[in-house]
Amino acid sequence: MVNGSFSRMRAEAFAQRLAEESNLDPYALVNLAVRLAWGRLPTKAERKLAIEYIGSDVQVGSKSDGRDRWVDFCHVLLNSSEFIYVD
Amino acid sequence: MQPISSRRDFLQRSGVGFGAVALQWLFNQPTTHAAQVASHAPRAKNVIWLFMEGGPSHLGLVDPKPLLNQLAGKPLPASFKEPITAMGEKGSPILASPRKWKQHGESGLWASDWMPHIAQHMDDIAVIHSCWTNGINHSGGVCQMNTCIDVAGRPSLGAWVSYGLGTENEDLPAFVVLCDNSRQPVNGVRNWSAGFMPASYQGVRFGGSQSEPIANLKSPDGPRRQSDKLDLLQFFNQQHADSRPQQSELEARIRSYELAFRMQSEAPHAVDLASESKETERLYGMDREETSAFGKNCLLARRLVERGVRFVQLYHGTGSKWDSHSAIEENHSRLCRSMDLPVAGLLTDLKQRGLLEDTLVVWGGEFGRTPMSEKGNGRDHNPTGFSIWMAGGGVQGGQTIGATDDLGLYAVEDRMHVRDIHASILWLLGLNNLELTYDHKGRPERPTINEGGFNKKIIGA
Repeated sequence: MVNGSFSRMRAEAFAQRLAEESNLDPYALVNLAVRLAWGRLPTKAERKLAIEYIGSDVQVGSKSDGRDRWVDFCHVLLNSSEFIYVD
Repeated sequence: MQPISSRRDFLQRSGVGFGAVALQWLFNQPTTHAAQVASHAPRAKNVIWLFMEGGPSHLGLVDPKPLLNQLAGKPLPASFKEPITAMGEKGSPILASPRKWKQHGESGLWASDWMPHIAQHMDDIAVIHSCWTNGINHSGGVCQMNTCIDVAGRPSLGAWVSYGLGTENEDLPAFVVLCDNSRQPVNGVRNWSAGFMPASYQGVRFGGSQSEPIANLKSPDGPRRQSDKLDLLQFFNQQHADSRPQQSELEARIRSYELAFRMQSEAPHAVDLASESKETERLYGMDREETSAFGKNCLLARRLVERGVRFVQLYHGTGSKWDSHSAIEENHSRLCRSMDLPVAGLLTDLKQRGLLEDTLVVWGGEFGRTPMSEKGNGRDHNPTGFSIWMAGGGVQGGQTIGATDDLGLYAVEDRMHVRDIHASILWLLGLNNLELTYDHKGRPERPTINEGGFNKKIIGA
């Protein structure tokens, strides 16, 4: 899940899906990503952590230090228990 | 301020700056919390279980029966109770065994020409001739040999051992499974499941490619990027698990990420065979095509117990390959060629490194095979009488325990059910099968389901 190529490819596609929403700010994008993955909106704390992780001024599709934070965030969501397990 | 009692508590109080905090936990915290209920001094610290999957013929390996050849072609004498056979063939004649038998070592234990290398170790081996099981088919038999019962769902012995004793190496799983091909054994991962116990105690199958011996362990991310990701992931997962405390799988998942993280530094050394000498490789048969796959696993098993892995289970003939309903001669000859030398090499190597004292080696399948033929030149499953053997870990070698009847059909003397086998393995590890309990929904569950006992003949008492 973390290191295999399939889930990384899906994470890239997930970020691509977010990139289509070019009119949304990072807060709205995090909301959208979490809603798509977990079927609910993030809590304030979750969103705060996510924004801290990604960086509030990082555009979808842009890279710094060789990493695309949005892809990595999507990758984390796809690895999360809340996504993997059905309640 | 209250002392911090759990990771959860710790993280709740630490609040901001979570990332760095979580990383500390990754580095410093033990992952398994052993029940610590050792009841007596252990004879063994580790177990290497060589599982011959599909049912090897005791009649062709360690339990010679001259009557087989005398009665060959004739029906089972009326003095023997007619058994229920898995495939249902009735009235089949007795099948002769073309094996050549010799007595070996000072003890004079019998071994056939199917196992010329293991035969050199008979003085270290206790052969238990009188095993029996309820599982008549592969699924039931393999399930029972792993979990003590032929109905699915209970924890496997390796899981009980890792629950009872914990690990001696925080950077490797306590319970590792190795298979000699890319197939699954019958029942798949359930064979090393933790059942109703927390999933952290389940076995971990090491299986990968030449370039990556443990599949998907290596991260394509650099260390910094990976730890950033894991910090965020663990936060989400911990929060999710906290609201579902009854689901141990969620906590196990969190631990598995932590363990995988630590394994990234430790495991590549454990499984890197490059530092082994050519001589060692030859000892395990890694230089020969027919023995290389299992030889490599046997060598890995030694390296894992050397590093404190508690329970290593090696499947040979993964995917019921020992099953021989027809053409047993060809099938067993081929399987023995790939098994005998590596197992003998493992015993030699453990002994010369002083590891055999602390390491219990168990060899066996889920059942044996019938004296009657099937399809003319095969043998059906025999759950009513079969052999396993043990060496090391306090076992008194050079002896046989129990006996089957004159055709090897039924165990008749000193019978040992799978529960007794498990109880004995646990005893050697310092655990009492009736004292080791796990509270499951208010019910004290025990590894051998409230039955079974240690057979002290195993230690020569």
